[in-house]
Amino acid sequence: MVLSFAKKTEPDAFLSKHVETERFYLVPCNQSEAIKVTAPWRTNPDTLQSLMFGEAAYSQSEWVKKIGKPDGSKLFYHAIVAKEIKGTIGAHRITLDRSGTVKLAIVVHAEDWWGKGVFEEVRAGLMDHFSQSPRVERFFGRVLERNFSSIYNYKKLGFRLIGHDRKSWRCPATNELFDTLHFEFLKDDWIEKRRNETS
Amino acid sequence: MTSDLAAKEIVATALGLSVGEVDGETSLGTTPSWDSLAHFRLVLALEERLGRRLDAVEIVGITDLPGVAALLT
Repeated sequence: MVLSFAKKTEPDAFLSKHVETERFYLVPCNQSEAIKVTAPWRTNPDTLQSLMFGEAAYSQSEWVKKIGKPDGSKLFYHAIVAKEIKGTIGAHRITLDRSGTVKLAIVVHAEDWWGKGVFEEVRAGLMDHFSQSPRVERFFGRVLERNFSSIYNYKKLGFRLIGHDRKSWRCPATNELFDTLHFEFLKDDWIEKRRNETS
Repeated sequence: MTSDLAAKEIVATALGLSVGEVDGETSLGTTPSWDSLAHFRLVLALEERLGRRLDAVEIVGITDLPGVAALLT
């Protein structure tokens, strides 16, 4: 009998660092911290739908599995801490695959902060940070066709629409099928954009 | 009413501007009042005006005044 053991993933020393933007600290989370900062999402059907999760609500134990184990290498959760109130207003999730694709998802659960450019500032900060890693090649996001705010945010940051999947996500609450949109930003293009903005 | 004027009125209302403040340069990338909430209001206003849901490609194309006017043509 051959026993195999999963190789433990070592955290990426650079990517695991804290990120700071003008108004926010983006604090990397371990699993228990990620579960805590994402707790408002677990039973919120609107949030779960915007993330295109498969259930309309999760039990605590299901949520632990759903969140996974942030390892500082392939899976990251960042708590979005607003300097102004010294409190967590949301969280950002990143997965990084072996091809260098960074998949992005964000939820700002503090409604007082909606419409205040949190997405743009947080995402730009994280993209600036991750684009410095040789492991990263591109950024990718998938959104529901009716998620107007996310579509706005991707367009505002300059993401390119690369795909439109028809009837590709079924809402667990209503059984309705939705189209999804795919957005992309190549790392090199992002670096050039940021260079142009500062020059 | 021309589609250009109608587009200006819809954009102005959604962004909280006067019609005179909306012009060909008004866009998602350059106009400060065109934030995510204004964008949300704009999409809903267009759907109400057209009497139908916009499809995904149409929604992605709402980035400036000409884009809005094109939907109303």
